[in-house]
Amino acid sequence: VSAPDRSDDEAALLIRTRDGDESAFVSLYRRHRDSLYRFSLRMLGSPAEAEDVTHDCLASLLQRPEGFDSAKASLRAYLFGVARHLMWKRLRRSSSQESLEDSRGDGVPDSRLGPLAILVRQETGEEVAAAMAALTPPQREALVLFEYEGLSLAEIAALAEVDVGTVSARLHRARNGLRKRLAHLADVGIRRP
Amino acid sequence: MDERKPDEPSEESLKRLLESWTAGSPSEALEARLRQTFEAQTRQKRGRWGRWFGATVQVPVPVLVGLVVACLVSAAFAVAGRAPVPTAVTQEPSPSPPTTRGPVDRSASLVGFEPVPEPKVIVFRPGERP
Repeated sequence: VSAPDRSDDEAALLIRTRDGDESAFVSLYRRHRDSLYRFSLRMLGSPAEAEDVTHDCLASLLQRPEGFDSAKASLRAYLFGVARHLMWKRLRRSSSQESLEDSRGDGVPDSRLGPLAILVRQETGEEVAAAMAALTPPQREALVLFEYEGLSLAEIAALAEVDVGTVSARLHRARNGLRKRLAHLADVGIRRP
Repeated sequence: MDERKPDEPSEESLKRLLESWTAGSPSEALEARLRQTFEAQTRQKRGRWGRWFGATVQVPVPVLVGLVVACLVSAAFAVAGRAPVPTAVTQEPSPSPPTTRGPVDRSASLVGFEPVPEPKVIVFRPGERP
């Protein structure tokens, strides 16, 4: 589905959702749940908190449908913005260092890898999660959105309400920080299947 | 400029390390929870009375205090207006003739009135003559 088709389709789904069509709402949820959940989990570290954010984010479409303006942003960008707002509120309330322990090894192992590779990958994933948790939240956010969610620098800048140069600097510092913390894993071979 | 030290992972190696941190998907319970939220929201929107009883009004505290004070002041004025005003000079009540009944309407008179005689009812069946 091309981008305009997708946005037209989503606009129709939104109208149906506002008219009380549950199946349209579920379709929207299924389209965006994984990316919202992954973003929240990588930022907050807790699966339970990530689900709460994903829920509240999609519920905002029901409670404040007028909040989304398709002329200003895509639905995906809007939902990421809401998720970001909700996460920052949580991050300010408490440092989520403790909850980050829960997220280690939460991912589903790739079935195409052998048992040893899965084990190595899980252990490496835990190390990466710990190294990510040690970054500052703005650096972590920039890295997660750029590396894992595939957003452009301009999109991240618009979300974070900063200029592109600031996002580049955050990404650069985040990568350097990770390199230092993961130096002992430089030789670990994680072969692509 | 590459600031990387020799023992630190290269860009390619760092990318591979990042890929090892997978996040998975949310649980099935989340979908059920969102469906419940949807139903609750739709029910609230549809119900006329639900909207009425669910409505809230936000009033800033200074405005609320002003309204309460205005209500109290107007209530105090209303009570003061109803209280009997004491008069300085008291007069002896003058004796008035006792009235036992109200005004009588004398325009309607029963002179010449005759009651209607007792009517006699005769029922005729079809085909009968009076």
